[in-house]
Amino acid sequence: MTHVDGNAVIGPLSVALGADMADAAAVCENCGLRHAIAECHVYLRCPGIVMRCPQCGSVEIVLVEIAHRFEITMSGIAALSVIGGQT
Amino acid sequence: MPVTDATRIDRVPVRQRLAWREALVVASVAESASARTLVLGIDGWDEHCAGQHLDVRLTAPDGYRATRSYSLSSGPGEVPQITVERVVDGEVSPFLVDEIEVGESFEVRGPIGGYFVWEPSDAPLVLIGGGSGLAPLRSIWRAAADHPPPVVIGASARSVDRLIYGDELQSLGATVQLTREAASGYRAGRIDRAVLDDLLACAESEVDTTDAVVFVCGPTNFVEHVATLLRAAGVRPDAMRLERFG
Repeated sequence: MTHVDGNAVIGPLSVALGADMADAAAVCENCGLRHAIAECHVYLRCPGIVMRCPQCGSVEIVLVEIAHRFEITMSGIAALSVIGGQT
Repeated sequence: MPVTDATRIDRVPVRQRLAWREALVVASVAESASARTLVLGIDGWDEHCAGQHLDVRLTAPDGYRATRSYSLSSGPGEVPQITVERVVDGEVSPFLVDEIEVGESFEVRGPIGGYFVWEPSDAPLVLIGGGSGLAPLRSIWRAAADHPPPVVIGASARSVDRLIYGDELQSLGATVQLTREAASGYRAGRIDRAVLDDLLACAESEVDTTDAVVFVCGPTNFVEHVATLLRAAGVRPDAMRLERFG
């Protein structure tokens, strides 16, 4: 199965987290790479959406939308950086 | 100064900005044997940034829903448009390419994205697209039309009847490669190191281009192939913007 880029997940992830993910960055928990969410390797045809680190391939975030809820597993990232602070 | 995503965030909450809303098909243009551009009427549409996309949602009579992302192929000041390539056995694209008619509508949210986006600058631009990967690049070259940087375009398609934006590409002096067909006026074969060196040389002949920006969009295999060539040619990773769509 082939992957697409993180851009494909910006919409649902932004709505799920209530913050704009367009310029967000993540740090991979496994290899430590800091990268744009848009650079993730995204697998859409799973039960849910699976986002993997573009460097080491480990699973970073899994997003499932079901029964009007988002279930988000983020055990694969060490940090998330989001634009939108008030200062 | 262009309105940035950051300032939009301050003004409108993201859930509101990314709420689903109706997009009416106001015109439809066949771009190739397998692709179509839909011109959309969207109430309250705000100008987008070149390279952004829309999420599209279709709902079947039984309630089943399918969502896909499509790049905006219109320039920032134009009426919003998406160009859709038919995917065999796809759930969404055959409907958008073959069935939907002017006057009908579907749901969209967006514009979305801040990574595969062109920020207006004086840096030369190299745009390389495979198949319908030319869609966001059209938005970028139209946005860059009034800016000084040279814009160099490389396009790849299987055959003439699968090439989108053929006339516009020709008028812009694009290099067009056909991978499965030989035809006069086009180059045959995949984009290779020689083609890429020509494109980069065109951009670099105009200015000192250590800061050239390269956008690559297309099927995953195509983007991986071109990105590998670009790295071998010495293009810095942070000067590349890659968009793989499967």
